Amino acid sequence: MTLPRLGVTLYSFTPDFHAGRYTFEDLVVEAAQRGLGPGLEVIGFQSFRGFPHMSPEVETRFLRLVDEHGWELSCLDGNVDVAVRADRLLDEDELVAYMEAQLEAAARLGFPVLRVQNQATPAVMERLLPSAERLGVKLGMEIHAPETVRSPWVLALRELYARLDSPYLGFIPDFGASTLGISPSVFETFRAKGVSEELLQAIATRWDELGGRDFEAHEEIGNFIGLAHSMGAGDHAVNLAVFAVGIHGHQDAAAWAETLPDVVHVHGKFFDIGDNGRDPVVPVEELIDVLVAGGYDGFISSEYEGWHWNTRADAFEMVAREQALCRRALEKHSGAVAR
Amino acid sequence: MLTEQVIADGSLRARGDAFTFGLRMPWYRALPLSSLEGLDVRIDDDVIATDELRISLGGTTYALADLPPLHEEWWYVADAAEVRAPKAGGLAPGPHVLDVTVALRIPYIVESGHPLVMRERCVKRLAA
Repeated sequence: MTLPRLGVTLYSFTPDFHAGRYTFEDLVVEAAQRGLGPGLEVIGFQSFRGFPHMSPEVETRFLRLVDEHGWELSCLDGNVDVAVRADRLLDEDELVAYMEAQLEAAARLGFPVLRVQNQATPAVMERLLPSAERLGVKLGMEIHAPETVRSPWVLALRELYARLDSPYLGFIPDFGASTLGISPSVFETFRAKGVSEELLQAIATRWDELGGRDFEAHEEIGNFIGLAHSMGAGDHAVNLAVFAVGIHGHQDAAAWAETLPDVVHVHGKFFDIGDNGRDPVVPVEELIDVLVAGGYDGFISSEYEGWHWNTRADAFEMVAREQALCRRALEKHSGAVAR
Repeated sequence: MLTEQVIADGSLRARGDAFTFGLRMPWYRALPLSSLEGLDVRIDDDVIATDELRISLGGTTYALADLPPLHEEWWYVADAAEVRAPKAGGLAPGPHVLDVTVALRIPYIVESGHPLVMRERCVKRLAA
């Protein structure tokens, strides 16, 4: 049995990059020196100036750093920018061409997977498949909170995948879709900003009530905003709603098993790892058990996203802690093999 | 958290009958210029007329009204755009309160045919 391997997405360090404390190339070096590999995932439109049409110099320098620091490229995150134009949405032909340029960038750099997002309809995915196969780059559709393996658009894609039966069509589960609750650090942050205890409790209660039933994400974020406004959250209402229901999902960890044969990459999303080494809301051990039981042997890419509200945490330290937790969970399985 | 960077620290400058500052996007990745849907600037409670603002990126200067067709021109996430705002009589030396709201269309988040437009406000006290 081959176990999944660990890695990191540089998205974890977005505030450090955005504030200019690290360039993209600095991050590639720093994350390697801190031992956060071997899998390296980057966002094309974040890391590469001119993406997806970078200069050859940019590509050469990146690949040299990857080589020097022992990285293995795991996933290039594409964006399905259907609303790139101000006047109208792209039509299907335009969107296919827009995504083909990103597939080509992934192939030039040697990324095995291009992350895509749910604005790529089944028709677009079907039309992209010949290019993906020709270029040797898998299309990985991200399933991110509050969506689940049974969201209607995911079910439609699962049907398409079953019909086309290609190893170049897959999914990327995001651990944030399977949380046990809203991160305590969200509540601490908004409490410190003066949001009332009553509102925070109401948000937590409403989140719990959503568990186990279907809801429409857009509508529910609206409901949370309304609730927050009605209880005096003011300018904090939108962020509180998005952090609560937009990135903390309710899907049972075990449900990923349904799509595991089609999983081509995993986002090890997390928001906080305590001093005790535990994740307060992402059931990391259980998720890893599900991946291993389903035979997944690709990368789990640690994705720290607590920085939206936690301005003090050291993202490098957070990723190191999350990987230690993943490693402990994986060791349990390697022990079983050794016996 | 990226909202705190919308006004680049230390970037306010008096320039004759105008002032300039560095504008950063409160988002994690490059966006097309067509995504910049709105920009509201106040200084010391004076509202600057939006159509008088000029935005410079990569050596080219634009009015906001120039941006909608520019979906193939990119604003790279690490770059500050320079915003120039007219100010009759110029900006006195010393501290000023700069209040900037930026509206960005997020091109991959679309609900029922409508793209998400995110509005973020940043207020800073800066010396000119």
